[in-house]
Amino acid sequence: MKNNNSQLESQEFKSKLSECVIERICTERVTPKSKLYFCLREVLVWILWAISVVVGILAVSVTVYVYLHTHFSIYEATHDTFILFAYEALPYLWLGVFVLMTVLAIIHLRCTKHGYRHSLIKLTVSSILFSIFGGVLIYYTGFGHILDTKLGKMIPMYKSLETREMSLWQMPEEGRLVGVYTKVDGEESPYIIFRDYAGEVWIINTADLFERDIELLTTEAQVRVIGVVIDSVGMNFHACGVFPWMYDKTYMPMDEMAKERREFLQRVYAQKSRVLNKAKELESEVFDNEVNKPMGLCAELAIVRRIEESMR
Amino acid sequence: MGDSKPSVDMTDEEIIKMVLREPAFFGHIIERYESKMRRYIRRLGVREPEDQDDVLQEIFMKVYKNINGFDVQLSFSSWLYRIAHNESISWYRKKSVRPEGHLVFDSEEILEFQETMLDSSEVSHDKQLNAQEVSRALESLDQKYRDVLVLRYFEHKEYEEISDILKIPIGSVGTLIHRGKNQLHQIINHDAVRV
Repeated sequence: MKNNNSQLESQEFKSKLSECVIERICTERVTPKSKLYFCLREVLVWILWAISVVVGILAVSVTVYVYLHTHFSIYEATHDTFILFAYEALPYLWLGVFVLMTVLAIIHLRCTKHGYRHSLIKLTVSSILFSIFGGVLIYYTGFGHILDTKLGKMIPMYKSLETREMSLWQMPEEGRLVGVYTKVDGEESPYIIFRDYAGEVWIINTADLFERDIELLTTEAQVRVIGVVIDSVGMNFHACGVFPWMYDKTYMPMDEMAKERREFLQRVYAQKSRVLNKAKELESEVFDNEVNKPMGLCAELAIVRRIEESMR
Repeated sequence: MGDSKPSVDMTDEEIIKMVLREPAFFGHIIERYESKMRRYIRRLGVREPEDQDDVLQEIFMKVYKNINGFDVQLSFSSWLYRIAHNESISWYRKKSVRPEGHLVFDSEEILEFQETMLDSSEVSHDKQLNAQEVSRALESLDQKYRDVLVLRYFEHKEYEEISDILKIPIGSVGTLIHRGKNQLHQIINHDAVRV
């Protein structure tokens, strides 16, 4: 009986529902939201998506620039192991931005009219691939470098790649210098004048440098030098290798860095064998003259020791 | 108002075009879908007729307010079901209750559903499950599974329509139906329900 009553009530309302709704529409003066509202809403979602994508692409371009231009060819000069070097070289801030933007892009895409039709995996993979592809393209325009450098100048907290590299390489006490060649001290002399990034002037012995190193130095571009401080008061430095400060910012410098590394390793082995041969020749003589000593210095650099350890 | 009035053989989309010119025609949409929507929200757990009335009013008010946002690439029915689904969820939230079913499935529907379920090789030997027990098992299913099973087997919606109603990918619809059936199979106590 109770069931019948409720059915009856429900049936009674059923015939009235449309009337009730129409009445409410009239009394509350309800009007449909305009088409423009829905259009703008959709456009806004797509704009937010586009912003996320663009920022994500920029993050990838800076990440690519920072990671590829970190000087891995002679990582032993600054780090004990490659793993440690690779770990410290990762631009975590930009990776974080990339992940955040990918998540936002996916969320915005799902908020579009038909975004729900695509699976999360499809959206995630396509967003990541799209950002990576776009980021690499932008990297080739040099924008990754520009953004990194500009931010480094504008925001004191932000450490650009060049700032980070400088803090690693402008360390004379560790045998690393960044600066520019000034002039040759005498025609036949192996000594040159070198002004480092901190403004200090060094007298550098280039006797152990290869022709390629000398050519690089005399371009008067900023370079990295590894070697040994002979006299920190007299500012004497014995150079064992010269490397470019930075490679062209618009292409992948892996080949150059790999070549640089191969050449440096060959040089290390050549210097080592020179020292050993000299030692055999002189046997009981004491190696205390100025000619022999520097060859031993280069062969005993920390970087050489690390290279040998990693080769074992 | 014009001479032309919505007729029975007109499509929803045609009536909506007329509603945009004359709001009074919206009553035709309500009458066309009232019983379907009432049945659907009842299956979603809005059991009391008074609550159903409230929810239905809100559904149709929302439809009217957002009628310009109706995506013509969807069927009107799917769009309406989507609003009904969302409105029912909102109703649970307002009432702070769990969306539980209350034996709202008709016996015939349950039997039909059993038939479909029995097509599955996993349950092919359970020919005579008690309808009441199946109904109870359906009610204790996870919400996400119950939503798709109700739409598929009780509202007879296609996968694409379910995808549009619940705003999930079509692939997920298939997965949820499959998992829902599995969970249902686990819930049903076979020994207890054999007739």
